[in-house]
Amino acid sequence: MSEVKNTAASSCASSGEFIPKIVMFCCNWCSYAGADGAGVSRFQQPANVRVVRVMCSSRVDPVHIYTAFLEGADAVLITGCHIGDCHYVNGNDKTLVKYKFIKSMLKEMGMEDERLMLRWISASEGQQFAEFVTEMVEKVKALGPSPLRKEGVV
Amino acid sequence: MSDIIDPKFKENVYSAVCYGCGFGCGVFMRELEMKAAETGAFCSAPILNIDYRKASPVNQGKLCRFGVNLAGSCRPAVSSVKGKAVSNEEAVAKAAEALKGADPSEIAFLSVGGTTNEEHLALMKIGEKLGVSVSTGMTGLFKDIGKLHAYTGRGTTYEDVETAKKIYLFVDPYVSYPLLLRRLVRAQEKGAEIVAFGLKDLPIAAQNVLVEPGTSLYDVQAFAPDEETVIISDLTPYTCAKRLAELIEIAGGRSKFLFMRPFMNAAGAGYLSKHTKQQSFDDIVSKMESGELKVLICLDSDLIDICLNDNMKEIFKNLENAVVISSRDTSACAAADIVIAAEPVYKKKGSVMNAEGRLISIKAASGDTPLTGFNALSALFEALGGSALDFDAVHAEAVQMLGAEEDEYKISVPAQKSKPEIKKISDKLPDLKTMFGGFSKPESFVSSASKDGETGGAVKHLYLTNPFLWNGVSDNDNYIEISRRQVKASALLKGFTADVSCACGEIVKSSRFKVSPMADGYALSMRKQPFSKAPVTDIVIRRSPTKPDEPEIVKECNVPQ
Amino acid sequence: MSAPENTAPAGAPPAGKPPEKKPPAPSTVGDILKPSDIAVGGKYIGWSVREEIRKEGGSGGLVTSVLAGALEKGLVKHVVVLKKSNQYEAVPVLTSDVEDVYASAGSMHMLISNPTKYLRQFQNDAAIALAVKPCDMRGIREQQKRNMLDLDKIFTVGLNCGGTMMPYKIRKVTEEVYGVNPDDVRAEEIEKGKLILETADGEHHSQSIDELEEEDNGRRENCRYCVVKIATNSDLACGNWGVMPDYAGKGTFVEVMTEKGAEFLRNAIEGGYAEVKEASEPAAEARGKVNGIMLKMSAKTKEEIFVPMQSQTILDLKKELENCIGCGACKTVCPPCACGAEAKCTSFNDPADNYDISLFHMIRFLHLMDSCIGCGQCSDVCPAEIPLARLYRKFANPMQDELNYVTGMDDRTPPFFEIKLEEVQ
Repeated sequence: MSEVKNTAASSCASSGEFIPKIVMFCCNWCSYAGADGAGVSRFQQPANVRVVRVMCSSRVDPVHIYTAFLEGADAVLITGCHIGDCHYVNGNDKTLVKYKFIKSMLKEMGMEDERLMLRWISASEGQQFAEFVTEMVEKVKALGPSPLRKEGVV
Repeated sequence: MSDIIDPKFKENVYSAVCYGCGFGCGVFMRELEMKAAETGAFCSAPILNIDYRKASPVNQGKLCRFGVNLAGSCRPAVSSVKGKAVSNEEAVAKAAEALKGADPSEIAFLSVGGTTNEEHLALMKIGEKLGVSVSTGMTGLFKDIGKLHAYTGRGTTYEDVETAKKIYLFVDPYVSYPLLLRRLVRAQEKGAEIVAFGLKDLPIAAQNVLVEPGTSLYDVQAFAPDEETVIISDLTPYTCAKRLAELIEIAGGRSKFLFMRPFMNAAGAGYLSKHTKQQSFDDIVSKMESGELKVLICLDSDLIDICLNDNMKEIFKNLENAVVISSRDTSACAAADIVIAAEPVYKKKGSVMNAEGRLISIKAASGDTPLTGFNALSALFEALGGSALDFDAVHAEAVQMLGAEEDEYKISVPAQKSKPEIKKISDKLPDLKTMFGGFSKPESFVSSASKDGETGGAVKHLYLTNPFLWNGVSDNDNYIEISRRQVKASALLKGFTADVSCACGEIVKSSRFKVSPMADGYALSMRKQPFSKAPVTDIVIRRSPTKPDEPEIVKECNVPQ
Repeated sequence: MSAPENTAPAGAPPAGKPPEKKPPAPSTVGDILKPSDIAVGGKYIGWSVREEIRKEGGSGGLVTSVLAGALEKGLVKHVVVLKKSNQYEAVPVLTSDVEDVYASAGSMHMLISNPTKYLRQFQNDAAIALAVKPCDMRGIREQQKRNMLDLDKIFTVGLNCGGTMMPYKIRKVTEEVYGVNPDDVRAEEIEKGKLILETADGEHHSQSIDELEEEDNGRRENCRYCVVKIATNSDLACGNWGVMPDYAGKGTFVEVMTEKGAEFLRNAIEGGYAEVKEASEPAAEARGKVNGIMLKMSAKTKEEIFVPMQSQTILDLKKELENCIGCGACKTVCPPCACGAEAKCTSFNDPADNYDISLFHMIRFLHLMDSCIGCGQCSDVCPAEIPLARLYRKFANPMQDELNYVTGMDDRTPPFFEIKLEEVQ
C-alpha cells in the first residue's frame, strides 16, 4: 500500500501545471462501447478521465454528480444513447430533465456550468468520444480547478 | 366522507421543555391516540410528535437535532421489581421497604435535574425524613470552594449574549448547546468579537485560541476579560474545578458569566439543593464500587448514561437496591432493582429552571396532566411516615425557594449579597488530570505508538459533550474527530477506518474518523467510546489493516505536506 | 414599499375596507341564497347565523360556521383548530367538539402553523376539515401529488393571507415599539398597512407595517415576496377583501373553488349555520384589486432580495451554510418534502464527511427547485439562523419561472418527475 498522497502534488505535475480530474458516466449500451471503440481505433485522448459504467444515462443520480464534485472532480461528463435509441425506451429523456435541473443549480451556485456536460455518443462513435474528452479537458484546463474541490477531502 | 370509526382520533398537546440539555427550549409535544377498530377504545400507546413552539422566549421554536427527534427518545418506563412488571403502588411499597431497611449512611439520592422542581423538592423532603441529602451530581466542583457558587448563579440571559461586545466561549455551541449558536450569530451581526477557547476551531469565532485541558488560564494571553465580556462556560459533572476557579479568579467581579447546564432542570435542582450538604458524583460512584452503598435512588437521573465509565452497569449490581424513578425507559431502568415509572417529562405538570434562571412551566395545551411521578413520590413520603404532599403547596414552596417569578418571559434574580472575592485558590485545586484519573499514560504504551516509525498515532481523547451523550440516545455520530495532520501521523487513508486502542487494553476496530479543524494530538468523540472511560484518556489511532480477501485500493488522502 | 391595503390571513379579521374612496358600492346583489343556488365558481358574501359567532369571529364568522356545520352534520369527523393560549401563541389541535371550533374564531397573523406535515400523521385515515393559508394549501397539494395526502379526505377553507409574523418577535415589538404590556393585548388586526393591537382597556395602538419591516420586525421575509395571496387552490377561498363598507366586519367574501367546497357551503346554509348572498360586481373587482396591489408589492420585494443575489459565488453559499448543525428541522417541516426519515438527502449525507457544502443541502436545493412553495417554514425553525427560504428560492425562482410552474396550485406533475419537459412547455 502506498503512502498517503497529496492532492496538490497529484493534481499538479512538478511543473505546476493544472491537470484536471474528470469523472465520466458512460451508458453500457452505447458510449461505454464507444469508449472501447476509441481505444481499439487508437484515437488519441487525454488520460484525465475516470469512466464509470452505468446501465443507462438516466441511472446517474444527482447524488452521483454532487458527490463527484464534492470529492474533487473538476468536471463531470455524462454520455448516453441518442434520443430515440435508448435501450430502455425513454431513459435518456429522463436524463435530459435531470440534466436541466442540475445544470441550472450549478449555475445558481456560482459554479461554471460547463463543468457538467451531457453528450449523446453511440457505440460506433469512437472518434466523437475521443474528441469530446479532448475538448472537455481543454475546456476544464482553461477554467481551472473546481471551486468545490477541497484541499484534502477526507 | 365519513369514518369507519367515529371519531377515530384524539389529540393531546403539551407545552413542554426539551430535556436534551439545560438550555430550556420550548417545544410542543403531541400525543395522538387512535381508536382500535375492534374494541373502539383508544390505544394505550399514542403516536408522539413534536411541534415547534414559536412563541417560546428561549428558542422561538427552533430546536437542535436532539429536539427535532425528541419524540423518538420518549419511550415510557414501566414500573417493575426485579425485572417483573408491577403496579406503581407495589414498586413504591418495595422502595419504601428498601429505604427502611438501610442505614442513612448506606443510602444515596441522586437527582441531577432531569425532572421538575416540584418532584426534586418532593425527593428532598423524603431525604430530610431519612436524614439523607439529595445529590445533584455537580457538587464535586464546589466541594471545597462553596464560594464559587456566588458566581455561577443567574443574572446573564441569552439576550445579554446577543448584545455583548465581547464573548469568550469555553463550550462548543455547535455540539454541546446548539441553540446558543443563534444568539452568537446575532451577536456577531451586531459586531461582537467572539473568541473561542478550546481544541476545535469554530466557524462563528473571530479568533480561535488553543487551550488544552491541562493549560492554566493564567498562561493564556488571549484571555483578557473586561467589563464588556460575557464568558460562556458550562457546569457538568466533569467540569474541571481548577479551570472554573481560574475563570472566576481572573474575570470574576468584572465580566458576566453564563454557565450552561447539561440537564433540563440542572439549574433549578442546583438552586433548590444549594444549602444542603451533598455527596459528590464521584463519592457516590466510589461508594458503590466499594459496596458501602446499599440503596441508591435516582430521580430521572440515569447514572449509567451520565457516567463515562461503561462498567457502570456492573457497579450497579453492587447495590442491594437500585431504585430508579424514571419518566423514560433508559439504561438505568434495565439495571435497576426497582423501577417506579413516572409520566413522560413533557406531561409533567410543574416548572423547570433553565441555565439563564428562567422559570418555565410545563403544561397541557389540550389534555390532562396525570402527576404520576409526583404522586409516587408523595406515596413514598407517606410510606416513610410523612403526610401526603400537596402539589400546589410544593410548587409554591419551590417557586419561593428559587426566588423566581412564574412568568417565562421574565427573569428575576434574587437580591444577592456582595460576591466574595476569590483569590488564588485554583493552584490548590486538582486539574482535569488528577480529578478524574485521566492521562493514564504508562510510558511504554505511548512509546509503543511512536515506535512505529514516524506514524505516531498517540493522542489524547476527549468527549464533546452533547444531549445525545448525556441522555444515552444514539445518533449517527459514530466517528472520532482528528486534525488533518493527525490523519497523516496515524497513516489513515480515505475510505479506510482506524483502530483505536487505549492503555487499559480496550481496542475498537474499524472506527470511522472525520477530519476537523482542531488541535493536533487530540481526538474528540460525541458518543461514549469503550476506549475512553474518563474525560481525558490516552489512546493510539492506527490505520485498520485491510481484509486479506479485499483488493488493496489506495484512495488518495489529500494531506498537505 | 407601499402600504399593504389589508393583510389578512385569517378568515375573520374585522373591519375590511375597500381600497377606493368613491361612494361605496353595495357588497351584494339579490336576496339570501338557497342551498341549490350555490355553484362552483360562484362568488358570495356570507356570515354566520349565530349572533355571538358574528361578533367573536369578526368578518361575520362564516369560516367558523362552515367548519362547525361540517362537523355537526357529519361531513367530517374532525376539525383542526388553533387552540390559543394567549394572543401570541396557539397550537393546532384535532378536535371533534364543535365548541372548540367556535372558540377558535379570530384573527391570527402571529400564529404560524404548519398543517401540511401535521396532516401526514393521520395517514388519510379520517375526514378532516381545516382552515388554511394559501401556502399551507400549496403544501397539501404538493403532498397529494406525491401520494402522501388524499385530498378526498381533506376539506380546506382557504383564507386570504397578506403575510404572517413571528410570534416571539411581535411580542417583543409590542413591548419595545408599542410600549404596551404584551399580556394586556386582547386582539390584533391589520388595516390600511397598520398593525393594530387592542388592549384590555379597549384602547387601540397602531404602527405602520412598513416601518416595522424596515427594522425586520414586520412580516416574515418570505411573506413579503409571496405570490399567492388568495387561496384559490383550496375548496372555499374566503377573506374580507372585496367586502364593501356595508358589510365591513359583518360579512366574508367567499369564492367556491371546487364541488366539495360547494357541498360544504350548501351544508352550512341548509343546516342553518350561515347565510350567503351573491357578491356584487364591484365587490369582486375590489377583491381583485387588493390582491393585485399585494402581488405588485411582492414582486418588488422579490426583486430587491433576489437580484443582488445573482452575483453570489460558491464561497458566499458556503459561508451562509457554515453554521449548519445538521439538525434536519428544515427538512422535517418542509411542506412539499414527501420523504420520511429515510430520504435521499439524509441517507446519503454522512456527518463524518468533510465537504464544502454538505450533500444534504445539495440534494435539498435540487429537490426544492421545482417544489419549493416559499412558505418559509425552514427559516422559521433553523437554529443557526441560516436564511434557508431565501436560498431555496434562489435556486427555485429561475427554474419555476422558466417552466412557468407555480407550485401547489393545481394537479400539474412536478417537472422533475416529467419524462419529457418539452412536451409540457
